[in-house]
Amino acid sequence: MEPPRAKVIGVARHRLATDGDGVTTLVAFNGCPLRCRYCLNPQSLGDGGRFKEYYPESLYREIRIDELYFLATNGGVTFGGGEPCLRPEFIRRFRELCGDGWQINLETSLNVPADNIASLLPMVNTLIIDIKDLNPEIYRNYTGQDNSLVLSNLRLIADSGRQSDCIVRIPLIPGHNTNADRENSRKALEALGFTRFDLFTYQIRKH
Amino acid sequence: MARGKQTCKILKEIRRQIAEANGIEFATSECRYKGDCLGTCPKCEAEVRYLEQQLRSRSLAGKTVALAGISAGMILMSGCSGTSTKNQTNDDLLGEFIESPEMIEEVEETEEGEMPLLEDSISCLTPEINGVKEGEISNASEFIVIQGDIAMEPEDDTDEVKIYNVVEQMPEFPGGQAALLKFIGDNLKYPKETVGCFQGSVRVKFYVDTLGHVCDPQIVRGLDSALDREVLRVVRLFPDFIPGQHEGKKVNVYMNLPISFDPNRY
Repeated sequence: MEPPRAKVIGVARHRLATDGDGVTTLVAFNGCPLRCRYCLNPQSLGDGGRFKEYYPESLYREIRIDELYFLATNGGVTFGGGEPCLRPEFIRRFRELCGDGWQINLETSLNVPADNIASLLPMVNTLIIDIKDLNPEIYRNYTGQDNSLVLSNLRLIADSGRQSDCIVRIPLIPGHNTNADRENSRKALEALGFTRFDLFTYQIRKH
Repeated sequence: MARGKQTCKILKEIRRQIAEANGIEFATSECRYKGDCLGTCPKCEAEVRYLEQQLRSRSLAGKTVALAGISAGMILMSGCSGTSTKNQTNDDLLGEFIESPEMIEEVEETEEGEMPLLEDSISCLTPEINGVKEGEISNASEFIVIQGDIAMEPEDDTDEVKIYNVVEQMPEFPGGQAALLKFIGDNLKYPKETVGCFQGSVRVKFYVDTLGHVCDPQIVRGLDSALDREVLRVVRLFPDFIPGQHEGKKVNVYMNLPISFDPNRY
């Protein structure tokens, strides 16, 4: 089988408590199923952007330079993007290379097939989940996509008892949802056993 | 403090702690560079390589190496109810990667041992740039087509979105100011490791949304990382406020709160 490789739009070192505990390196994959209006990394969409292709081995060699910081601070790598959950094979191989000492965090929308989440769960430490809004209509208006996979993957995580390893982001999305909508999302998540939330407001980019 | 300098300072402290925990002699000089920086530079990297080499030789000599989690408490991501991922050391947005044309080449050059010129490296030191605070990101416009976004002016002035600084009726802690002070007094603990070391106040900023939730607490002026963490912990425990009102409507309002640490009280 051909070894997994992936397009990466960027590798950012020394992020302190921005994408997970401790010192982390953010690896942003190219490719995402969503088209969010206020996307933070629009260069991850489409094939027109600048990216570099990595194998897990070449990425590990590059990131290992900060291993001392990772180990001392319980930090590691945060895979974002784009959508990192589209790359389970890549991440699995990366975990084999880096061992258990590094934290692996995913910054994801969960809008991927359930098999991807099921295979990733045992090998990652933290999931930072941006649910946008749980209301399907708001979600579709903002991302252009259906959120049924998100809902079933949240249930899958809950059934696996991994809620406490998740930080669920519930944004106020200017022009798309209200605080009352966020409250509804939060209640539904609490009913599934999620307890760690990040309430914040999306920053508007003047595209 | 210049961007990146705070990162530099924290990484240096981690190196110092690693050296101390392993009995490694470690002398570092104050960085004199005044401008923006990556938080690391050839000198910082050389210190990391020195520590790695020392740890390796200790390990080979059969000595125990203390490394796992020894600086774990220094940097903790927030992620409890009502928090934001930003903190006082870092203006990055979670998951945001600001593309820099030099970024990839820079990494390759460094790997080959070629030290980038400081002036060159500054141009790729911008992951912290926050589009709203720092102005529009330079390459944003070319993505309109890729995103297929139909241009529509963001409605960022609606009361749901706008966060006010001054309003007719400020948000109120349930029970009023006295109850707020009591709540802080009852919950704030002077972290053991800092007893007697610090005295003063930590200023924390957050906003109260239209449902009264405390959102996005951030340290505006810190004292010490342990004390700052303690303040954020207590702010996250706050019950819902009575929301602020302006022109007859509930609105989001920023609150700014100094929280004092007096060692005699704890």
